[in-house]
Amino acid sequence: MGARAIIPKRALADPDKLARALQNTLDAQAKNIQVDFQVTTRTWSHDVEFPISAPDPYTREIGTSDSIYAMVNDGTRPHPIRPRNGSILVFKGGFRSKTLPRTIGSGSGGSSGPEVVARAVNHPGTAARDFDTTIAQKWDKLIGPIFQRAIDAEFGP
Amino acid sequence: MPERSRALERLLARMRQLLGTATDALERVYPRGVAAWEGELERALREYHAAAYLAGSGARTPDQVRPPARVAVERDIATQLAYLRRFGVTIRENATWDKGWKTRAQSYADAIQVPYWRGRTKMLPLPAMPGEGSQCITHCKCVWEIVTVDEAANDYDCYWRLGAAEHCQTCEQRAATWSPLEIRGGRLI
Repeated sequence: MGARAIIPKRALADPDKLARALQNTLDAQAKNIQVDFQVTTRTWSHDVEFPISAPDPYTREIGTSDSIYAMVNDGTRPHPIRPRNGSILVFKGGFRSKTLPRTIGSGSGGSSGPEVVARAVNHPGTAARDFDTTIAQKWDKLIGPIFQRAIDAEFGP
Repeated sequence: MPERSRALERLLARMRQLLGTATDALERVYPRGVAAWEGELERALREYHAAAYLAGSGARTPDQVRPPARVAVERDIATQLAYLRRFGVTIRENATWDKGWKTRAQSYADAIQVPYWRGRTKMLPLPAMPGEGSQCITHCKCVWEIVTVDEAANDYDCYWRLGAAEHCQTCEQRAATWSPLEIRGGRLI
């Protein structure tokens, strides 16, 4: 039994419009992800930048070079803390973190309670927040309407 | 502070009332009447999704709506009907009436914001619509403000404006970051 290729007489869609729809989808998705990263640091005392880059036409990267963000995102192991210049650590014993694991948001957080004085402490480590995987998984599920909007923008009224 | 249009607010209020009344009627005859209730909700979804698109786009009559927009609205309706089918299964399978079903039925009204905003934002390739991907979800009262820079060139400046409500962090950040979001030559910059 033979096979015969059925080739359309004309392009099914304008390739330039399709390319623009793809680019707009990538850029829209990147902007949504950037906003969510910004939300995770909204109450932080220092600014964290999340620039969008395009290493190739069909890739977008949203990241940060902020080392503190990396530690919060990836978590830390238990570790000792010793004073740098002085010989004593002074800190408040109560602490509420601004962020929670796998939660896209940031709260007020802060230290509280009476002051504690110590020569050194063993920090229990910080649970990984996994902001990157949480945000990626969220927008992976939501990309359908974004892509459709980009297509509608090209082939719509 | 910008607010959602009165047309959208009226449609939302009327649809919520209609869905609430239909569900109250179902409760009186339950466990019978589920198929009729589903039919009534489906009619409401179709009618109000179309009305919401017309309100957002400014089109006065349905025949002014071009085919791609019709297809988009039909897709929105199909999404809601899929949720409605599952809801109907839940109601049929339950042994007793659940007081939360009325609120759940009325929440279908919030979905008409999608076609409304599609019409209002001229089907631009915007990253998100109010209620989409935000902490506030369908309770979002934020709006897009679209400023036409050069319509022939497909150039627009798009601002995410916080609505008259308590804002979630996502919307506050969108308002700060997307101010404006630039579209040039149809490309999201």
